[in-house]
Amino acid sequence: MANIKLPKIEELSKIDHKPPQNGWMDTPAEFKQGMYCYGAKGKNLSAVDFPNARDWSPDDKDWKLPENWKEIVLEGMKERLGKYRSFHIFMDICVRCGACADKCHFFLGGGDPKNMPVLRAELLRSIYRKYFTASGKMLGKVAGARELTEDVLKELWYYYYQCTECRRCSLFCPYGIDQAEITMIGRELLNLLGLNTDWISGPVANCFIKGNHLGLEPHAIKNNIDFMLDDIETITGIKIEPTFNRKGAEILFVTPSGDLFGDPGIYTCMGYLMLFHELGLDYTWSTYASEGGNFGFFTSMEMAKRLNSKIYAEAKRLGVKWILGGECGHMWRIINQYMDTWNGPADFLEEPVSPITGTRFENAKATKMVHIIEFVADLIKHGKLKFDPGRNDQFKVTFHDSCNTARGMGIFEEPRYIIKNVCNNFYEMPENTIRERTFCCGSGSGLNAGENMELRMRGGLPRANAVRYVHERHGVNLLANVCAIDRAALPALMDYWVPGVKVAGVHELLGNALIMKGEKERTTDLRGDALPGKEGNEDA
Amino acid sequence: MSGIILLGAVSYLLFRRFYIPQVRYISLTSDYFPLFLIIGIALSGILMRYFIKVDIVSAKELIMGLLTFSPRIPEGIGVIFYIHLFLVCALFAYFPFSKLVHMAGVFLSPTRNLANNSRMKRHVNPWNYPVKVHTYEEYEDDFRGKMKTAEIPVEKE
Ligand code: SF4
Ligand code: SF4
Repeated sequence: MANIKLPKIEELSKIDHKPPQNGWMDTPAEFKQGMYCYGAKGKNLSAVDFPNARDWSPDDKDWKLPENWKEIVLEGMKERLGKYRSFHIFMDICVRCGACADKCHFFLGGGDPKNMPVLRAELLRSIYRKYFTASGKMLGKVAGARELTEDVLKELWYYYYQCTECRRCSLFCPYGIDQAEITMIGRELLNLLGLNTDWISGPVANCFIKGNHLGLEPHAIKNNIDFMLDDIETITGIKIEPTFNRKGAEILFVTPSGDLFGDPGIYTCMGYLMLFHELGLDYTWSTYASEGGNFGFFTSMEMAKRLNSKIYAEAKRLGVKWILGGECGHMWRIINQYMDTWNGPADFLEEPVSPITGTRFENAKATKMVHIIEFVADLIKHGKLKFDPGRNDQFKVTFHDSCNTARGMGIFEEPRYIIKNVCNNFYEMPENTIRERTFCCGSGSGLNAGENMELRMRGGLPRANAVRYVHERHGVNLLANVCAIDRAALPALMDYWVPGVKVAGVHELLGNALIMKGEKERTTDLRGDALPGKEGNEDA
Repeated sequence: MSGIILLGAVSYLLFRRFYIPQVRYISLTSDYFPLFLIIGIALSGILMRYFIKVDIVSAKELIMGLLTFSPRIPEGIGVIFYIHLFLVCALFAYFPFSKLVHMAGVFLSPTRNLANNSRMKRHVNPWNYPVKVHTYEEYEDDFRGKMKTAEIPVEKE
């Protein structure tokens, strides 16, 4: 990481969107430092019984592929064409109209034509045509077909780990072709050859054995939360005592482990802890199901299912009634789209009912898992929470819709509703960069590593531009979100493109504003910074 | 008139394929072929209507003959009509094999025709299969000591 330098802003801002003279099939992929991640380590692949486990680097000429690698890929493709209607249709129907071309943040911020969603798909589609369609077999290149060679495989790897599976392209495609789905399958095929990245396979192995991506062992989880509790006590004077792995609790709470470690995730977590305490919620944490996120999803469907299974298994073991989920992006894509189908039916749970308001969450009737944003919006609607929004007056806030909760499942209003209740200053970014048209943070789908920082800064440029707009116009200094990857990835993006803008989860803002029974007069926010008007008399 | 509109529309489609550099870059032969075909049809149609007049009565005779399965070749139709007819036939023959059939994709695409209700309603996957998981028991075996020290409840003492 140390030897991969991130170019200066001036250099990165020069973007050429003109494609080269040569056709794309005749332009082999050039691996640019800073645009890709390290290769997976053998020990992490074998921890989850993945094939071709070995230490490997994309910089090497020899990728140590198995003898029959081509057969494996083509067999894998055949199997998936049969299994996934989406994949099969998306391989067939693109008309290369180009409507998606300038919608991908990686193309907008980088200019590499193979980052146009349509070409990203063509990389795989050309192989599909060659081996699975009559015209491709007969006409070859004229019909857009090409041989699967080692160079083609490397190209696939390079560009399928330059897609954040954000689905923005699909929104603009007249056919709804979803490159995210194609990327998922592409990555599955690569994983058949052990071609994962270090940044994804490490967390996957951790999560499988230890229960969470960060590899926090049970006592470490408890310790981290204890630190937060100490801080909460210092700030509010209130002592909170949450429970872990407690049988018979009404609710199991699952959140991404990013909330348990590091700034600014922990402030969001403090918000959860304060909220649950104030409500007197009968809930428990779990150290076994201590991960809401799922890097397995960036590997293969099967791996995602293996990791996801812990949530229901733990809910069953503890005998809870339903599950509450924290702020996360891809975690919710999985809960929304796959969890019940993979690991359900959750017939040992009850249809979720808010114990405070009595609201029945019919939208989660099958999965039995409620998003904390829905849960809290309902509380506010029923007037169950008291806020002092003035305690967020140091912030001018804008909201970044995470691709997965916004495009992936349709949560648009709830987070805004909460923010407007707990903050006095809220400004929207331009229309075509929010809600279902939101721009990706540029680091999703397991790309938030350090060694590919240039890729991340380029991919995040459209988002950063929208933030800069409200920063310059309204003085926005806080980018709120409901996603742990955002909280991990956006600070670097802001520091690079829009210095002066901080990043926070919605529940950090809620924690700041929440008036708790018996609290002392607060002088600082959850970060320990002096509240407006209280400067100079902090006691901490 | 309709022929001219058609010609205009198709020429626009062709023009953008050549002119917008990104679109040109992604285009395949199969993207140009139907456009040229349609241009050919429109051109020959316009020629017939305004310039090389074709005897419409004989042309109708030919088509009716074909439709009633008793083909006759009337006199005086002119080569241009046959060119037009050939191109139209080619388009019809090509249609089902080409990207033009992607029109149907608008309705078939799963991202367009599936309801976003999978949290509310259970959808069963016919080929869902059991996978290897790391069970709670295995987890507790790994960490029992540490859990007990941290006063986290365990199943087995
Ligand atoms: S918008 Fe859809 S049909 Fe058009 S080029 Fe992109 S993927 Fe293909
Ligand atoms: S899913 Fe997102 S990152 Fe991937 S090609 Fe589409 S717009 Fe680009």
